[in-house]
Formats: sequence, structure tokens, C-alpha cells
Amino acid sequence: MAICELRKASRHYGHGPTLVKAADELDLVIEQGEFTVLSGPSGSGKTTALNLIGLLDQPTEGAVFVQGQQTNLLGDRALTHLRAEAIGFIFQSFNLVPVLSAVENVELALTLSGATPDGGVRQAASEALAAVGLGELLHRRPTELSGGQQQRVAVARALVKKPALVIADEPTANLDSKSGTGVLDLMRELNENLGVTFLFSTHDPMVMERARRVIHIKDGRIARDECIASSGTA
Amino acid sequence: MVIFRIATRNLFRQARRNALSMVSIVMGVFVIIAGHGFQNGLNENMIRAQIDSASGHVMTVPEGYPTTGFRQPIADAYPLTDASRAWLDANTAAWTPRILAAPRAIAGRDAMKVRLYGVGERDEAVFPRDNWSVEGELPGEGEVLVGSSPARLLGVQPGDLLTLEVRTVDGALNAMRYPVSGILTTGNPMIDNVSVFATLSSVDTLVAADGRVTHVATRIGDRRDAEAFGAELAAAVPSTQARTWEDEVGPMLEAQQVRETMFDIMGLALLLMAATGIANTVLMAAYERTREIGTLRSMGLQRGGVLAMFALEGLWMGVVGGLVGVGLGGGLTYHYSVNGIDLLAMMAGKAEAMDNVPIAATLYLQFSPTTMAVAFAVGVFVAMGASIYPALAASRIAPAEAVRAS
Repeated sequence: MAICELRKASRHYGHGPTLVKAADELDLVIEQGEFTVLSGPSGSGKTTALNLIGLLDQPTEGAVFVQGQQTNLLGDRALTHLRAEAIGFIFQSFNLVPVLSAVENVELALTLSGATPDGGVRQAASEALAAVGLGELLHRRPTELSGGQQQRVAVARALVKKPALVIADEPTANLDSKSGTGVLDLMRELNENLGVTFLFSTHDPMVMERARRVIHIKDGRIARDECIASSGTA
Repeated sequence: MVIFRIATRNLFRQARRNALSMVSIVMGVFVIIAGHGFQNGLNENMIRAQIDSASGHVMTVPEGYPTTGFRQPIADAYPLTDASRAWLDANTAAWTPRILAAPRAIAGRDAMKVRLYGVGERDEAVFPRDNWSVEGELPGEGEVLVGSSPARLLGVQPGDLLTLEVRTVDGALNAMRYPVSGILTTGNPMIDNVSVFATLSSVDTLVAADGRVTHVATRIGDRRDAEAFGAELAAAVPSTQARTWEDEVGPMLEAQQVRETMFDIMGLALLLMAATGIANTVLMAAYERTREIGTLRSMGLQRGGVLAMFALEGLWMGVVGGLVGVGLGGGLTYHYSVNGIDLLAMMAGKAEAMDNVPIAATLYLQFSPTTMAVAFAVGVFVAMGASIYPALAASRIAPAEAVRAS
């Protein structure tokens, strides 16, 4: 089942001689349970593609479908609602809210998505943090956590609302190799055990080694789409 | 709720910058509260001084009696009939007849014009003497009590002689010499600067009033009823017009209104400065936290939520700044509403120019919870209003740009 789909989706910036085609007629389908990487050099259009899929941006031309719903015709409010329900984000710089503790950051995702988990928001957030190995650090502020720990909180925050798709934009870029490996293994484990769908953008070989599908993007277009039969784990 | 929590904690995130932005709110709220407290206290001070030392609640004067300047004509002095006395006894809380004249006071080679009060035994019931400080004695028959300024200028002490020279009711020139029984200080320049007190019968003899008076001052239950009571009083005492405390002090209060308006303008100017400061602070916060906005938007926070979050931060600055301003302004006005300000000390050397201004020696500021509430509300409103524009700007940042902002 397709979680999301780009059909001839383009994203252009500027006009005339200054026109930049950040995404150029992208055709792409992400299926349930995939662990997929968008790869390419800086400026190739990976992030633009992720923004389109993640409903953070709208295509200039073409269409974006999420959970079978065409999103081009949706207003900002409906897009935000769909994003909150269906998509979790993990950012390169973790992007935790600094005035909230780890558990409050995770709770925030539940609150904004409108989810009402059994046992309450606090318990669900605590369990999500425990699942990423931070059960003892619930009340630490982001500044009191290491980079790896912060990214684990971001993973818990992305997953706690049980989204159809988790988008991770260069999730290991700001981590040392040990922390990066730990975070990637965690995501892979969640993918394999819980069937969570992950879509990465990266040019980190460590991420690409673990991917089951690698989509190479160049100049806003898909240059190559590789399915990898078996991928390594740490 | 989570937006409220984030907005509240963000107040402490740039605590020093936010505190500086709040200073203008504090000052604006403080100026409004302290300014109103001072102005309303001064107004009340003048009203009480007018009632307690010059007019009572309502007084009768001859028709056409001058209302301004240092003029106390006695040609139209009027008799107080038994019927009028009976009406006054029945319809007032207290009343007293007076003769006011403006004789020349002479001591040795010095002379000056003074305001002479001929007062009866019941005078204290209308004009309380709590603030009177007498060096010597109150005047007996054929004696005078001299205000502190004329006593100093004329160089008289208790026991000295003072000559009063005046036109009588019939227009003849009369002069009599009186022993000074005492020197009077009240703190009210209207009394201290130009007054000489004597018994009603002494002044009656000096001006040949033959039982006639120039003033009948009254006290009634509630000063707010003065105007209605005045109409009845004028009818009960023939050949007179009634003048209420409001008639006497009203023009001065109107002049004071200018000062009150100035305090309001100062307060609002400070609050406008605060508005620009807060708008700038919230705008900076919005730009500094662009990525955070993007993160929240990516997680499902609607534009309205972003707007509410930043508007709440402005609101918080208004609330905290307003509370501090209310604390300072309220504390100051409360302190001086209880302990008062010594106007005598403040007016030292300047009171000569205030012969016709009724002022009590101690100024009590008005402590007004209503003013505090209004000033607080204005401060909060200004702060929140100022944060709307930057909050709107923050809410319009595109999520795709916001999440990647550095």
C-alpha cells in the first residue's frame, strides 16, 4: 500500500533567467514498511522532495498524495492536520523545543496530533522515550542531553503518534559516528519490528548501507532508483 | 495548554532582554497610577481645604458678591432673621455666621492688606481647627489672632498691638487698635498668608455691621448634595446667593485637569515606547526561533497556534510589567495615602503666591484600586497589541523555510 506518492511533482523557485527547478517532475511511490534513502549531493533536491512528501511545501506543478489523499487542493489548515496525523519528522539539528523537557517534547507531538493514547499522553510519551533508551532521562532539558540523546528524543517524538511515515532529513549529520550508528540501528529496529516506514535524505554512507531502497536524485530529478536485496546492520 | 506552557517558559529564555522591554510597561503603569494618585489626592486636598477653611459645604453671600481676587466688600452685609436662624438650625448639620472684610493692618510703620474674619462661637463646628497651631491664645473680645505671614511681615508677636483700618458698612472710614492674642499657622496659605481672626462682635463693631453678616457657612450630611441644598438655603436667607464648595473650588479643579491629562499623556507615551520595545523583542524572538516555529508547524501546530504563542509572550510581558508597575505605583500611593506628604516643607518660600488657593498642610495621595486595575489593563492591552504584528509575522513563516533556518 502506498503511503505517499509524487506524480510529476515539481517545485520551482524564481522566474525567467533566475528560475531554479529544485524538484523537476518527480515520480515516486513510497510503500508501507519501506526503509528508503533519498541520496544525492548538496543542492540536488533531496530536501525539496522531502518537504513535498512531508507536506511542508506544495508543488508548483504535479500532485502529491498522502495515504491516498491528493494534497494539492488542501488548505493550510487541512495540510497541517494531515501532517500532524500521518507524518513524523526527524531533523538534522534535532529541533527539540529547548524550554520543554524530553518527555514534554514527546508529549507535544501527541498533543498537536490530537492523539489520545490509552493510559494518557504522559505515559505514552514516557514509554516512547523508554523504547529509545531514555527512560531515565525523561525530565532533562535538551541542553542537558548529548547530541545522540537529543536525536533519540526526536525519534521518540516522531514515532509516538504512530505516523504512517517518518521523514528524517540528514538525521546523522550532526552526530558522531557512534551516536549516529546507535540512532540508525534504532530506526532500523523500529522499521523491522514495528513496520514503521522511514524515508531519509542523506549522503552519509552509513545510512545508505542500512537502506533497502536508495533513490539517487540529481538536479531535481530521480537519476536512479535502487532496491537493495539485503542491507547491513551494525 | 502546551502553547501556554511554552510561551510562559520563553519569558525566561531571554530574561534580561524581556526584562528591559518590560521596563517601559512598568514605568507607564507606574506613572498613570502615581499621577492619578497625586492629582486626585491634590484635588481632594483642595476640596477639603476649601470646605474646612473657607466655605463649608454651602455658604450664603450677598448677591453680586465678587468671586475672584482679594475683595471682601461689606456694603451689602445682610441681616440674619430669626426665621433664617430657625431654618438653618433645622436643616443643617452645623452653620455659622461670619463677617469678612479686607482692612489695612498697621503695625508701627508697616502696613498690609489682610482678610479679616469675624467668627462666632459656633465657627469651629463648620470650620474644624484640627490643623490650627496657635502660638499664644485664641482671640477674646477686642483681640485678634494673626496669620503667620502677616505677623512675620508686620513684625508682631502675641501681646503687640495691631491697628485695623477699614470702611464700615455705611462707607465711613474706621480704625481700631487690637492686642494680638496669638499667631496662627495652619499650613493652608489661604489662611496663613493674609488672615486675621477676631470675634464676630469685635468685627461687627469695627465695620458697624449692626448685626448684619457677609457670610453664613453651613455643613450638610453629604457634600454631593450641596447644589440642591444651596437653592433652598438662598431662599431661606433673603437677599443672598448660595455658593457651594464646588462653585468656589471648581475653576481650580478644572485647571488641575490639565495636569491630570499630562500625567495620562506621559503614561501613554511610556506605554507606546513599551509597545515598540515589546514589538521589537517579540519580532526578534520570532526570527531567532524560526526553526522552532517550523518544527512546531511540522508537528501540526496551526498558524493560529503560532500567533497565539507569540501573542501570549507579549501578554506575559504586559502582565509581569503591569504587575510590577502596579506594585510600585500602588505601593507609593498607598504609603502616601496613609502617611501623607508634608506640603508645608515643599512649599517653603513659595506659598506667598497662593493667597487664594485652599490647600491643607498634608497631602494624602489617593490610593485607588480602580486606577490600578485600569492602568494594569492598559499595560497588558498595549503589550499584547504590540506583539500581534510580530506574532502574525511568525505565523506566516512557511514551514519548509522555517525548519531549515539556522
